[in-house]
Amino acid sequence: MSLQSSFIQIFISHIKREFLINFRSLVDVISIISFMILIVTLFVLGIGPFEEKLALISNAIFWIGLILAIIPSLEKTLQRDYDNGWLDQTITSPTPMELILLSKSLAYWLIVIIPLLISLPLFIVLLNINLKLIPWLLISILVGGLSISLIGIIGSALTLGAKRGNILLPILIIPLIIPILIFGVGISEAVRINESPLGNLFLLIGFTLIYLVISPFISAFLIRIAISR
Amino acid sequence: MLYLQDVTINRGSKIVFYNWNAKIENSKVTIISGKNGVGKSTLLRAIAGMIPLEKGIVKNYNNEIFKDRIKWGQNLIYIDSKNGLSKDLTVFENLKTWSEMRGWKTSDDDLQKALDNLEMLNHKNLYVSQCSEGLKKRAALSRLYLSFLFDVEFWLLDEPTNELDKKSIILFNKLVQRFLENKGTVLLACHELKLFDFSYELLNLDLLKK
Amino acid sequence: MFDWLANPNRFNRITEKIQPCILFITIITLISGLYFGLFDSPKDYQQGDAVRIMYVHVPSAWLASFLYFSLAISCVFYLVWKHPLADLVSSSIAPIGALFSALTLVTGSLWGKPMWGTWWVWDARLTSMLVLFFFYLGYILLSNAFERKIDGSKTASVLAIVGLINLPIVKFSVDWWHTLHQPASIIKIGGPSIDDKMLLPLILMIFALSFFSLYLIVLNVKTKLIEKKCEALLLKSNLEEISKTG
Repeated sequence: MSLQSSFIQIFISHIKREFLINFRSLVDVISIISFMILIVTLFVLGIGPFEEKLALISNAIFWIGLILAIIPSLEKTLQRDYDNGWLDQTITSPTPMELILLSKSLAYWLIVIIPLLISLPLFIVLLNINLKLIPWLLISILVGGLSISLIGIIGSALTLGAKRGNILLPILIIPLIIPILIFGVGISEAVRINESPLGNLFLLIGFTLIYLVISPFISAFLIRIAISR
Repeated sequence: MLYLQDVTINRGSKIVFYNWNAKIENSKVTIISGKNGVGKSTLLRAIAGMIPLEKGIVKNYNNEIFKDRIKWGQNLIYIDSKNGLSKDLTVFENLKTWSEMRGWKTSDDDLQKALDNLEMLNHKNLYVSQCSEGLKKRAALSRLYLSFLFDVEFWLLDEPTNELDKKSIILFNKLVQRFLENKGTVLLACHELKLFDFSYELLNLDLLKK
Repeated sequence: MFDWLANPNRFNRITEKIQPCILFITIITLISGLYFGLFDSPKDYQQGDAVRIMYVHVPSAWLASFLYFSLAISCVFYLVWKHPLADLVSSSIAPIGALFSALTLVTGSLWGKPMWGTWWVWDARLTSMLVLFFFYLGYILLSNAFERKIDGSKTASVLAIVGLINLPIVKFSVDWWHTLHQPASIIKIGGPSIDDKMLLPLILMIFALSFFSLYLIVLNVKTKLIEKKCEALLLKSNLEEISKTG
């Protein structure tokens, strides 16, 4: 009775596991949405509620909130799986480590993006986002969120087992994430001043594709080193 | 039959095994004993493929096991003190996700039988964070039953009975007996030898490494 | 060729000979570069004497980038060929590179004050240099963040290589960002054209700082080799003591 699953089924089962751990109930969805709203509120309180100011800054606030939502939880989950021995167990899986880490990145991307997309109307209202921005905003957070997740997993793999890893992680990751922020905000800015956002969009897509390929390999390499300690 | 030939293993700058040779007989239990820090866990992790060998090869009969790492990984179950359990999942969910990770299609029935072998069926919906250390170990050891459904030849166990009460150790012994009858090989690192009721070979690292 | 160089004794013998040469070249180029830069080259028609900061600022900037490239290459040698000397070289380059990127930022700031009236301006080059500084900082912090030095070396090497891949993308994106937000270009640092008389001291200074870095790197590696030797001797004497009493 040797029923074996295909790679795709195993891939999906890994994503399901991440959902089971981090996305089990409505509470998880609401936590992510609340976190983003609070970040936005902090910025607005710091900057002032004036409409003109908000229009300029709302894009950046949104992206920074996205980065702050994805990176810490991704780091925590990888650290937990390392500490409790789950990553050790995955050595005995028929799928290579690269695929497993890719599934983790995708799972995290979905876990954060889905509540965000659901609550997008709320943010449109809070930040007074122009309606013509919306389709572009959707595409850019879908693509950008994926690359944030892919870079986040490299950063988390770098700091596995490091002293004060949680403080070190932002220092390592933020320089790498700068292009995502620039291109992502660039898309909304271009639409706002009635220029074509396609340049920024293609750059963002290109950047994401590069990391889609290299991130699983780099993080798998790092995790194998971490396991052998 | 596992042959370790001229195996050298480093942990950082410390040489744990140097040009070491050993033989592990199949369909038997081999207990690795020795003082703390002598290298029992290192040996198990190296055979499991988690720690790379600096030099030397390990052969299963005539096949070098690390030539096809994925195939070798499929052939063993490794359990150590970390257990590999997610505290945010229930006992049942842990077993299910673990077997899915191994690429095994198991029915809920099979998984429940696995849990029943270590009398964990009553606790299957307990979150691991709510379990005592003994329950956690039994939850991890429940995986061993799945060896009978899929082709697993080797069990690499690092101190599996430390947290277990007497009753659970009896259940564990039964599992081991059944595995040996199925031509499985068990490699076990341990301090306490009294409670095992199966025969075993002893690999005493304190003596053999000099 | 590099295998041959990796033997510490051989390395020491070779560097013993070339070190004084490097120092000599450094001093000559530094003195001549400073002379031509500070005295013999023309003043800028707009900035006056302040433009002379360029002779430190531009070479520092170039060197900071070049050293990062060398750092990443050295890390590749370490990861792929497991060259032990490569790791010593990497950890010697990193603080020097960080220093030069910091120097670029400080000289850029000093240069900017008379020009724009502020101590800092978020222009493309300074912003990229700030990011490069953090790349260096990340490398140094990560390599020291682990219990065992070897873990730090390996993970930091991966970081350096990822950084190298990302660095051109970051530079490009910061340039892009800058042009998006400031369509009218202000006076570019470096002036609209480089006079021939400016070129000579510039090149001299680039050589001077490069050889200076080389000197420091060689010195650093030698020191680390001595440290390693001490550690090995200490370990050996400890083992001997244990086997005597044990």
